[in-house]
Order: sequence, then structure tokens, then C-alpha cells
Amino acid sequence: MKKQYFKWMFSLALLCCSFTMQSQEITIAGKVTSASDGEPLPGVNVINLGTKNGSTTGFEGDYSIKAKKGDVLEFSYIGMKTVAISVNEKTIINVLLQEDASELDEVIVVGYGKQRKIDITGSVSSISSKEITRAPAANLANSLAGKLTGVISTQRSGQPGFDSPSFLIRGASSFGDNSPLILVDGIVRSFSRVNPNEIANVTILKDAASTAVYGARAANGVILITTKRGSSNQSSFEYTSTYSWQTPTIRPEFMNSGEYSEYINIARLNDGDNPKYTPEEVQAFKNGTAPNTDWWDETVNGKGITEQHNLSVNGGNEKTKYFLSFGYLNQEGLLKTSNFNTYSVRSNIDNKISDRVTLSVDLAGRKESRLQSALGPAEVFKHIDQSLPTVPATFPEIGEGALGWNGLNGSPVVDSDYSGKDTRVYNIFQSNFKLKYDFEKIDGLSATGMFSYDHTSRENKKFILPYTYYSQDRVTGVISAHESRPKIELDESRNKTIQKTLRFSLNYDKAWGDHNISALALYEQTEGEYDYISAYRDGFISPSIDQIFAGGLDNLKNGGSASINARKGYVGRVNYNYAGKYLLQANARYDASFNFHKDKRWGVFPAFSAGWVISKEDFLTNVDFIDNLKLRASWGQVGNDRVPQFQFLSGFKFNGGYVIGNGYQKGIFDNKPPNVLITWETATSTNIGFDFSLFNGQLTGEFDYFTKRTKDILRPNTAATPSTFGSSLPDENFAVVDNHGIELVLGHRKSVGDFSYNLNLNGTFVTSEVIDMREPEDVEDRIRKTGRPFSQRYGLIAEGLFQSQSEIDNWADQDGNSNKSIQPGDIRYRDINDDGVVDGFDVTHIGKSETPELIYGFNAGASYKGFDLNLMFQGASRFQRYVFVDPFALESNSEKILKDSWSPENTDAAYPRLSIGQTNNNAKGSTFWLKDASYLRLKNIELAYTLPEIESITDLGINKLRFYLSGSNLLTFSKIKNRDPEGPSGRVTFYPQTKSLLVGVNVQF
Amino acid sequence: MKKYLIITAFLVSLVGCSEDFLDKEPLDVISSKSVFEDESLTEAYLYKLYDYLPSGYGDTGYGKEYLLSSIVDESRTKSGWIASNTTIVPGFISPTNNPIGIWGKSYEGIRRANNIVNSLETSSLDNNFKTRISAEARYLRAWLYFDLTRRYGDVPLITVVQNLDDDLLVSQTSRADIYAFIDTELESITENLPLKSDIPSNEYGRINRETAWALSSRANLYARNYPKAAASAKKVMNSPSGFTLNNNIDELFQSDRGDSEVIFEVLYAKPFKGHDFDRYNLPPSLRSDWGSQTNPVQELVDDYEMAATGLPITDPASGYDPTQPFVGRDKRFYATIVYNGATLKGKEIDIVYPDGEDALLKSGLHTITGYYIKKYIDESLPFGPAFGDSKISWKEFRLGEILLNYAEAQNEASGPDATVYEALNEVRMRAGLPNLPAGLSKSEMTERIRQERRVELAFENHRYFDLIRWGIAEQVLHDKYFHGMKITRDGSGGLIYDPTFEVNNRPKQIFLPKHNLFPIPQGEIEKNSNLEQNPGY
Repeated sequence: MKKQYFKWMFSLALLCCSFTMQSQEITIAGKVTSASDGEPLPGVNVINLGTKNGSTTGFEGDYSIKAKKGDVLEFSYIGMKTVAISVNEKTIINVLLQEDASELDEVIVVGYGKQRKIDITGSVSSISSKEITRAPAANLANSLAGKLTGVISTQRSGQPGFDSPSFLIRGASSFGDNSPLILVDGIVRSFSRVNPNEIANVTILKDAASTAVYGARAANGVILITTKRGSSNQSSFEYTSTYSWQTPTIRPEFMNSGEYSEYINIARLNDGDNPKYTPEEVQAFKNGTAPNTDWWDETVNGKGITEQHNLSVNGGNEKTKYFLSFGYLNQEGLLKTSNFNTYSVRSNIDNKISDRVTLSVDLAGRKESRLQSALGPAEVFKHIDQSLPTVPATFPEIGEGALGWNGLNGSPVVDSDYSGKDTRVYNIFQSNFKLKYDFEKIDGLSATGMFSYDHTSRENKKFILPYTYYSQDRVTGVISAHESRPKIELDESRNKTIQKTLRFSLNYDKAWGDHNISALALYEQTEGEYDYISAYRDGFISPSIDQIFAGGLDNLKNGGSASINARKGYVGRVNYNYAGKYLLQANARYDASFNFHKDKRWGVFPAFSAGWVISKEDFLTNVDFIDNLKLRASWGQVGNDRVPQFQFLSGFKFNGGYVIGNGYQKGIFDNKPPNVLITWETATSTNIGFDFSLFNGQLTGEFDYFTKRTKDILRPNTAATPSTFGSSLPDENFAVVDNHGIELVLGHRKSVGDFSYNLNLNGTFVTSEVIDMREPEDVEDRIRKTGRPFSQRYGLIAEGLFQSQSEIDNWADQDGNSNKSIQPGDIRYRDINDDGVVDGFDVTHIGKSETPELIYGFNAGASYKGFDLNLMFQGASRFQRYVFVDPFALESNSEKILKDSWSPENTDAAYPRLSIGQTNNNAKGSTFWLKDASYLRLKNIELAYTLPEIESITDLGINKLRFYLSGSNLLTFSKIKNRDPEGPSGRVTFYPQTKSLLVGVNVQF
Repeated sequence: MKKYLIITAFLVSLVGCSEDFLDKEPLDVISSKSVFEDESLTEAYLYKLYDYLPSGYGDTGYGKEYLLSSIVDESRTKSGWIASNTTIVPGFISPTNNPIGIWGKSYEGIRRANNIVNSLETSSLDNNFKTRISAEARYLRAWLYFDLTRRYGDVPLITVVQNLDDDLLVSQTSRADIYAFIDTELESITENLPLKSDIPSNEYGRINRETAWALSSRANLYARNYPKAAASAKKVMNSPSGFTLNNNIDELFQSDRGDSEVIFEVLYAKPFKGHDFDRYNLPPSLRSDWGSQTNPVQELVDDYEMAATGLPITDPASGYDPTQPFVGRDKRFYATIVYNGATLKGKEIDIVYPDGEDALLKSGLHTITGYYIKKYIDESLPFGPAFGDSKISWKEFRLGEILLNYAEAQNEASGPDATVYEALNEVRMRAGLPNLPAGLSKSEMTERIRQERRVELAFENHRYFDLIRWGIAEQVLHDKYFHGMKITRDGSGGLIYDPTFEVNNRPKQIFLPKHNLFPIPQGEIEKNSNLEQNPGY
């Protein structure tokens, strides 16, 4: 990126040299040397910013250039800090260039603009394309965890196309929508499926000072994705290709038939029932003369291969620059009927129509296809979990491909491979048209108009097919056939979303001596519309045509829905900095949302921030080891308007109905009572932080402390409204939640000769507390939500397992029937109010939520000659999962870990006594099943080799050739052993998270 | 420069820029003013309210997947995870966990009924229209209060549409006063409702006058207001609509509308409203998965008398042969229960242990009592019906019950007079049983009536409430395992019947005195300090 920029500058400089100089000019000459070792620097670009004339230094670092008094000369060189020097009387100007170690001049994309990192006063974090494309995940959202502070993301599923993580910025703070506002090239768009190769950088705006320009939608933070643009004068092509293999991070272990028959007998005996298998049968399962089916192996046999190809062109001439990209991704899942593929194309073109007018047109298209089996992976994995190992998976004696019944509820193999297909195809078209005008009369003032039109359509089609499978009678040996379902069904739906955005802005950017001012005034409006239509038929006489018209006429169904939205706002922002030392920023958005009544619609969201670059103060300029030291502080307010629509209106909706006369009559019902006062939630946040860079960038760091109070949180007042009111309740603005947190980044980098390395540690720690949720005053402290963390859990406190009948007899009544149903090996609960009964009054706050409070990453990279190695550990801590394990529910199979269940011989067991399904007593919500879900994983590791620029390659026209090998989630450390720590609470009935190995190549030509 | 101004103007025109840009109207909401001034919309609002009427099939109100029968001595349900087994049978109903609670849902319906009644008062619609709609809404409100009070006892009585700033912490009204309210309401609306015979076919399914009388007879029976209960039942029996018992009991429970015996039924019409009864209850050999959830117990089977003698099987003179237990029984037995050798959907059902296709305990999908349910199974459906495929109507009120209501109320009010015999014998005759012996005492008659209700109304969700109002629920249910029929083959292929097979692989039933009332949900107690929890919870 940077390299290309200089290439372009260089050629521009050469071009300019050929023009004739004007007469009043004098010739300036001098020598450019490196500040660190005093060596002369050849090839440094020297540009007169007044005339745009340029030159380069010669072999001895010497240069000459024409200029007149007052002109500014800019000296720039790769890896060095750019220096600007004003021309006065002197004709000899010698220049020392400092190494640009800390990337202090890095430019960061911020809300409606860009800023040098060193000038930023708010709290933002950002990563560039290089880091995004390292060990790329198919889902971009999964690539950010551990790389950026403030991001709290947990990947719940590994299913291709359905693997979006829960994604929070600085934690959850609302009872409603906690998702951040996501903008791709300034427009609200989804980002998880954007081709990573198209992305120039990702910025996370965290504090109100950074997000206030987005007003009523910014309370949960903002993510800005910027795509690449043309930057070079000659076309350069880049081709990237990766190929990767996925396997589950953790494969759940189920009992084999020997274990199953032995332990289910115990469970049935515990329930007072007869054993299911005779000792002879158990023996047969154990010695392998009777079936032993591993249903996971039978079912989870997809390829798990992901292939990615991307070709892009970056180029142009003085007038026109372009970035074109074409990408293809195909991800095969762990199940045969599981696939995600996407084609993406992008064309970003900037054209200088005249000296002062630039037209930019960005067009992007994407087709995403998701495929899963008609019954869906949740059903498949649930059935794997339940399938009996004691029955065969196939019946070769019936014929090839004759599948077995799982002994309980079908066959996971059928569910996965033969139940039909569920396809979801997204067609996404996105466009931005932008016209920028630089005013002639007022220097530094520009006007920009932009219009964006996005059209997304989705086609869902679920074709459900019956399938025949077989079961064998245990006693008689007779094999009989079963149909998996009675009929063929087709469920189809289409929807489309259209979004239009219009924006006008005025930008002003000017420096007078040490005073630098920039200002922004902006108007923006967006409107969107959505509609949906669905159709259903069953009774297809053949599976050969999966179209609606081919279905039977008995069960026709169709449906639909529609909605619209509109928002507008005015933004103002002023930045002032004095000598790069004192930085001030004020901004505000006057914003309105269609979602609220006319009188409650408009609001002002102000923010102020300041920075003090202490390292530029006189008393520190002589302290050599400090490159940069900056203090930052900000305060601001932002809103959240994303609540169910039109709650300020009363009215009726179609809903349900009843059969009267000869058919079904549609019904209508009243909406919730209206709340005309409804308005946005407001988050007020304060951020204090400092950045430092020491020893020429060898040691860098950032620290932020923030508080956020979200008030007027929209929430129905259910805590105080009895259900005898008889209606669901409208959201009201009343709840208040506080968040506090710290973020820390520490970096170290060093090079010794050809060897260089870098280390980076980042961490985010966020806690929350409910300040007010209109709980009645007299709610007992044990179940009080006020004053507790935002997603506090409530349940009974487990005190281990009962070991003897006398313990049970002497314990509080747990079953409302003098503990008659309780047996040794059952969970014992604390009677916290000491009334002799364990009941609803003993429920109290327990444990932590599913959202980690601490999330951290550790990145290390090293390079030597053509080799570079990068690895990233990512971890999360201070959260819990509810890991409930159900033995033999419906006499299904169980996880192997349940062998460690309580019995008179195994009193020190991890799980309660076995039973067919956890008993009512043991299934109660309690601390027993809460597990610390902290984990640390090697999120990715990448080893790459870049070929040296040897002639045999360059002769082929290749500028750069890079090979790499990487792995994701290769190592995981967690206390939860039987499932992935990032998975959801509950049983193992989810598509597992995956680890992968990847090989890739990158060619530039 | 001009060029760009034109472009700018073009861009502006694309989107529009005025203030009313933000005044969007929802695309799916009907304005609140129009509904009660429009007959079609008012009717649509009423139909949504009708949807609060329960059906015992489990799609409304009663929780899913089982009849209330599986928590009384009618049947057990095989799946351990079903709420009957996890929570209700073992006596775990609590203020925080009551799978058959109906508190919140009932008050939702009550609010809507109140809204119709209140809004129509000021509506300018035609008076006849308003009178009838209002009467229907008041009937539905009375039903909802009846269902609430029979479960919860004292409940808040709310007859206005509350606003959020009203005092919402309403205290309970006594059960007696709730029954009085129901009685008054029904009394004042009956004349506004058409007779069943006057309802045109395109309005079939709406509340008729006899339904109001029928509810009056049932509610007053529950309230122990016996003379009124008898009088209301009598009105139904004498109704000009001319209800008659259907001599073909199978036909009655195969019908999806319009049987001569039915006073009020909840109708189904696929695909928008179907129920899952067949999917949940067919024997394994007649479906692809699920099924077998309602397994009748031996105690119920034993209560069907011998048809020829009208005597219970325990009577040596009854003619009962334990080696042929399914021969010569009350006709209702055959219409209600699938036993070994019964024909269902043209297929002979084999429940012989352990090899029969539908044998007892053959797998987790098979019966745990040796019986399956026949009542409500739709013989016309193809193999393996899907969810929502079932269409047989739920007969909430039928003449059979009304006759029994009358007999019970009249016997309680004035002893076993001739009309009591007449009503009871009418029911027995249809079942193929001889008349009752003359000269029964009042308490003997009470026992006969209870026996008749048990077999006539089995699986119709009466037993649970009957046991409670008769005060014998604890005696019948508490600390009990029920029994099933285990049939095996002897060496020569003959069948051995063992009716003492104990169904102990499911929890023993716990029914304590507190269980005569439901607990009020814990959350409601916490929110409304004026509510008093029912004793024992």
C-alpha cells in the first residue's frame, strides 16, 4: 500500500521535473541523511508543495530543486517520517530523516472522514488489509477477535454460511439490540461476508466522541469497513488463492454399544424399571458380536474443504484510478449437505473530471449461496447425540445404500444426506456514486455529494423429501421398512430489501502556522423498504420437480409481510489543533428517526474530546527515548433507535383466526397499548486514555478507561405489570445500565539485521451493572436484578450430591413431597431462606453470563529474509456456560462422560445418579451445571515465504510471489472438555466449531 | 459548474428531502379508529378472541402433547420428558413451574373480550349486529373466567379494558363470586344468541344459545348451585334445535362438524388450523415416528361394564371372562380404547408381548400400558399423518354430558327422581347397556352417575376437574402407580392376560391436598402484592 503510494509519488515527481521553471524561483540544494546512522539517503522524494515540482536525491543523498520563498518542501522516503520544511532565505537545506518506526503518521478512517492516528482524540482501533487476510476466515467477523481491543466476539457455530459470531463492542448495554452499527464504505451494510481481499481496513469506533456523528444509531459502537481504491499509475494484478481443510475442534464422545447397554440398564434400575438388556446382550455388545455403530462417523463425513480465489487489479492514470476485484469462495461443510459459496465482484473507480471535480463510482455485487439439509444441522446433530449405538447404520442384506433406523427417531444420516435441501441464495447489489468539488475561491474547502443504492434479495427454498430406512426387531430379527415422513413438502420464500442513502457534505481543512483547523458539515438521509412473500405446498407426487406448481392442492399456504424505515440527520464537526500538540474536537449530530412520534423524533447527540501530545512539549523533546506520548479524554452522547417499529401508534394487526362456517376466518388483534413518548436510548460515555511510543517505536502502547451509562433503555415494564393487564407491553424508556471497562494494547518490535519481530498484547475488560429497571421496591435481594451485572443468571445453589438416605432425610424438602422422590446421587440444593423447603424462594443470583468479561489476544510475528511467521493466541475469561448433560433421554444414547455418574461404588462422581433423562430434581436450573468457560486458543498461526526478486521470476512479469501455510484454532485450552468453549449453552446439538489447515499463494504481477 | 448543480438536483430528486420523509405509515397495521366501526373488522377481532377457546388436543391452553387424561386415572403418557411425567404426575407443579397453567393467556383473552364489549357500546354499527357480537364476547369472557376459577380458585375479576396508568394491582374475587358473575352474564346474554338450529351454515361454529345454557349447567354444577345447573341442562335437553344422542359412537368421534349430539365444537380446517392428535397418538405400526402418547390404564378399562348385564366386571354375575377380557363390553369401550386385536384404520392391532408389532414396551415408542387411544383417532387419514393434519373437531359441549350434568344436579338437588333415571338411562341405552335398577338411594345414584361420567366422558378433559370437585382426587390419585395389560402367549399360542401389570417405569402419582388448586404464578405474586397464594404453595 505504502510502497505503491511512493511509486506513484515518484513517477509524478519525474513528470513534474520536465516543466519549465518560473523566473522568481531560486534553487535550493542540500543533502538528506538518515538521523539514526548519518548515512546519506539516495532516492528520497523531494517535492515543492507549492508548485508540485519534484526531485529525488542522488547517490550521495544530494538534491536540488527550484522554489520561492514561502514554499514548503516535503521530503519523503519509505520507512522514514516525512518532513516538511518552509523555504526562507537559505539556499542550502540539509535534512535529517527519522525512521518511521511507530507508524505515527498512519491515517485512520473515522466517521465521515480520515484522521492521522496521532491527531485522534477519541477511542478507535483499526487493522489493515494485511492483518485481515492473514489466516482468513470465510466469515470476516470471525477474523477480528483478538486483533482489536473493544471487540467481544464469540463464535457459536462452525456451520458454513451460518457461522456469524455474537459480536459486541465494549460489551452489552441494552436490553434490546446490542449490535454495533456497521458501515461498509459509509453505508449501513452487513460486513461478515465481504470478501476480505477487497478490504483496505477495518476501524472500530468505541467511545461517544468517535461515534456521535452517527447519532441515534451509534450507542453500541460503530464498525467502519473501507474497501480498496486504485492507487497506482500502472496496472498491477494480484492473485490470491487458498485451500483449507476443516475438522471439528472437539468431537463429542458418545457411549459405544457396550457402554450404552451397561449404563442404560443402571439408569432404568435407578428409575425402578427393568433393565433394557439381558446380561448376555450386554456381553454381546461388549465383545463385538452385536452391532456397535458410531453415528458421528456415519454422519459427519463431509469434505470440510474451503477454496478461495481472488483476482484484483489496481491501476489507472493521472485522471482515473481503479480497483477491480473478483472473488470466489466455496466452503464444504462437515456434513455432506452443507455448503457455502459466494461470488463477489467490485469496481471502485475514481475519475478526475476536472482539476477540481472528482467523480467516484463504486459498484459491488455478491451472490451468496448457503446450503443445508432440509431438516437442518441442529436436527442432525441432535439425532447423532441420541442415536443408539446398538443398531446398525446400514442394512447391506436389504440392498446397497439401505440405511438403518437409529432406534429412536429416524436416522441422522437420512436427516443429513437424504432429507432434501434447504438453500438460501442472497443476491446483493451495492452502489455508491460520489461527486467531490474542491472550491476555487476558498482554499481547503470542498463539497461532496453522495448517493447510494443497495438492493438485497434473498430466495429461500426448502424441499423436504421422505426416505425409506430399515429397522430390525431385536427379538425376532425381522427387518421392516419405515418412511422418514409422510409427504414431500416445499417451503419457499423471497424477500427484498432496498436501501437508499443521500448525503451532502462540506469539508474544510486549513492550516495557519501552528493553527490547524478542519471542519465538517453534513446532511444525510436514508430510507429503506422490505417485503417478503412465502408459499408452501405439500403432497408432491414425485421428487423430480422442486417447484411450487408441481405440488398438491390440499395444503396451499402463502404469506407475506412488509415494512419501511427512514432516518435523517445533520452532522457538524470541528477539529482544532495547535502545533500538533493540543488537540480539540467537537462534534454533534442532530438526528431523527421514523421510529418515534413526530414530537419525540429529533435529538442532539454531542461529543467533545481533547488530546495533549506531551511528547511535543519542550520539556520532553530532548528526552530521546520518547517518540510519542499522548493523553486523550472524551465525553459524548449517542443513541439507539433500533427497537420494534411504530410503537407510538395504536392499531390492529392480522393475527391468527378461527374456523367459522366452511373455512378459516382471519383474525385481528390489537397491538400493544401505544407509547407516544417512546424515543431513543441514550448512552453517555467518557473515555480517558493515553498512547505512547518509546525507543523509536520499539515499545508502543495504548490504554483506555471508559464508563458508559445507557439510560432510557427501551424495555417493556413487565417487572411491575401483572399479566392480568392482558396485553403485551410497549417498550418504555426507563432502564439504566452502566458499563465500565479498560482496554490495553502493548506492542514491541525490533529488527536486527535481516531479522525482525513484533509482539502485541491486547485485552478488553468490561463489566456491566443494572442501575434501574423499575423493579418493585420489595423484590428480594436474592432475585433482584438491579445492582447486578446485565445478564446475571438466577437459579438454585447446588451443594454436591446426596451420599446417603439419611442425608436426604435430614435435608430441606426439595420435591414438595418430603423428599420421597430423592435418592442418593441426586443433586442437593441449598435452602437459602432456611424454611425447610427448597422452592422458588431459594432461587438466587448465580454465576456469570455467557458473554466474556475479559477477552484478550496475543500476537507475535517474526520475519527473516523471505520468511515470516505470525501467530495469534486469543482467549476469553470470566464467563460461564450452562453445560447440561442429559443421560438417555427417551432412552437415547449419552455422552461418554456420563460414565462418571454417581453410584454407590462411585460416590465421588461428576454427575448425578443415572436415570432416563435427568430427573426433575437434577434438571432444575442450578450452579451444578454452570461451568467456567474460560479458554485460550491458538486462533491462528501462519508461516509464509516470499521469493526473492530473482530474474527467473521477474522475467515472467511477476513482482512478488508468496506462499503461506496457516492453521486456525489448532490448540484450545479450556476447562470444558466435552465441547468447544465458544459453543452455546445446553446440549451438544449444534454444528461444531472447526479448526483448519490452510495453504495459500499470493502472486503480484 | 452548472453541470454539477444539475447532477446535484437530480440526486436530490431521487430521494426527496422534506420533513414528511420521516412520516412513514406502517404497512401492516390497521388504524385503531376503524375497527369497531366496521362489521368485517369487528368480526375478525371476535374470531381472534374465539381462538382463545381451548381444545383438549393440546393446541391451546392445556399445554402441548397430552390430554389432561394422562394426569388422572384415565391414561399415562409414555414419554418421560412430557410435562405430565416430569412435573404434574410426580406432584412438582409449583408457582414457578406449571405446564398446564393458563393464567396469562386467559387474561389476554379477557382483555380482548372486554374491549369488544366496551367498544361496541359507543359504536355506530347496527344494533342487532352489536348485540350478538357483544353476547358472543361476553360468553367467551365467561368461559375464560370459568376455566380460570376451576383451576385457580379466587382470581381477579376484571371487566374493563385497563390502561397502563390504572391501578393494575387487582385483588382476587372469591370463587363463589366468580361463579355468580358467570351465571349472571350467561343469563343476560342467552336471549341475544341465536339457537343452534337458526345459525346458517356459513356461521356454523359461532356461539349459540344452547352453548350458553350448557356452560351454565356445567359452571353451576361446579359451583354446587344444583337447581340452576339442572334447569340449564334441561333447557338444552328441551331445545327446539333437537339434539339427539348419536347411536353410532364411532361416527360421533369421527365427525369434524355437525353431529346431531354436538352443542358446541371447535372446528378445524387445514392448512391454517389443524391439530396433531393423530401424529401424537397413533400406535407405532400406523405412523412413522412420535405417536403412542396416550396409553389408557387398566383401571379405566375395568370400569366399562358388561353390555348384556350392565354389571361391573367385578360382579361374578356380570358374565366377564378374564380369558377373553375384551368381549361383550360397553359399546363405549370399543369406541374409546385400542386393545389387542382391535381394528384400527383397517389393521388389526397386535399388542402381544414381546413380539407384537405394537407390543407393550417393545421400544421407547410403544405403549407402556398395553393400550392405545381410539377416541378422536381419524380413521380416514393416510399412514403417518404429519403435524397439523388432524381435523376432527373438539366437542366441548355435547348432549351426553348435558344429560349427565342434569342427572347429577337433579340428584343432588332433589334426589334420584324419575328424570334422573331417564337422563342416565338415555346415555346407557346408547352404550348398549340395560337400564339402571330401580330404587337406588341418593348416594347409590351419585356413585352410578360418577361411574357413567367416567366412561362416557373419558378423554374429554372432565375427569381431572370432576375428581377435584367431588373431593376424591387425593383418594383416587395419590401415591399410586396405575396398571396396564400385559398379554403373552402360552406354549400353544393361546393368550395369557395379566391385568396387574404395574406401570412403574413412570413416576408414581403424587396428589396432595394443595393440588386441588393451581398455584398462582410466582411472578404474579411478586408483581401484585394484593394477590394471595393458594394454600400449600
